[in-house]
Amino acid sequence: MNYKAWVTKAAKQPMVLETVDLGPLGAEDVEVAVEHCGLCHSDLSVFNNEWGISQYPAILGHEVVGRITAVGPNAKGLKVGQRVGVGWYAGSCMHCHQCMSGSHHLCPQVQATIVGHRGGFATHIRSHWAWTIPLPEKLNFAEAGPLLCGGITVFCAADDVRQADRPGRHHRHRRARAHGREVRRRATAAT
Amino acid sequence: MRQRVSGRTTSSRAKTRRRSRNSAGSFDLLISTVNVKLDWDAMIGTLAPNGRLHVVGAVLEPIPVAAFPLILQQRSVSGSPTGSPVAIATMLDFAARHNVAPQTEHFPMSKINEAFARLESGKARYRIVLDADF
Repeated sequence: MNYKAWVTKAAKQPMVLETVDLGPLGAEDVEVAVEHCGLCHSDLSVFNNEWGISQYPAILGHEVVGRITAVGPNAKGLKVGQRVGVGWYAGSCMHCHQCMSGSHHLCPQVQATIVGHRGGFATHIRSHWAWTIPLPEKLNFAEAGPLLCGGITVFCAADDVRQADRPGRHHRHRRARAHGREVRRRATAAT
Repeated sequence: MRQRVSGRTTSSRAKTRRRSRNSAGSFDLLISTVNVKLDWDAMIGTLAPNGRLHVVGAVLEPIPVAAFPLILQQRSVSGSPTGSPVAIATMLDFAARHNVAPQTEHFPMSKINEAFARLESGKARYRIVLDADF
């Protein structure tokens, strides 16, 4: 298979189109043929190494929309031909407390799509099945890319605050305590 | 719960001051999506009692926070990254149901370097999408 990608060789160097070797498909990974990919300001920050975490050569692009072209033997719930999206993260450990409680994005080993991983400015991208999200049929997929990073970031921020403000928050805390979980209320003692 | 929504972009300090005076004490939630330093005192001042300044824009300079405006109005400052896979699926369903879509400019992927330059120049309105053309 001939994969091509726009490669950043070093910070602030213009991207060049190259043939890349993606290697064998991971057992839990899927491969997506990229149709559209949003360009987020975070791509620019990693391109310029503004955060000091960039790894070159880099393939940027983390607002991917495309169709699945291959599924690993242990990939679940997805099939070839399905239209999907991949955002800022492309994988997580799937066994830590955060992953097992549905907060995969807080996993200590969560894999950013464009740092130490090949992103979506390419013919194909690989991602863990759990982080490869089927797109609703009604969604205008050509415009959906930015929803996968900018969209979810703001959606979650608004939704978390709404949940936190709901009456019953204190009951949830009490229930959490009853289940032996610590409810964090911390204060630093004056010294 | 009272909810008001307001979109903000970077603007001059004077304009920010003027606007924030007009909306002092009125917002339940302010989401900062920009990666530049803002007039944080003014921003926190726009929050209603129990209001929250929520940071998702990766500003590199530390955000100084004065205690009294938080304490007296029981306000808070918080942050979050992206969301979980289920949250992404929920958001996509929400977007499909309510026809929510970003305002975009499209470039063929072969013009990727031009697209990066346009984003960096601050001229993009508002999100750029590259269409694969290999």
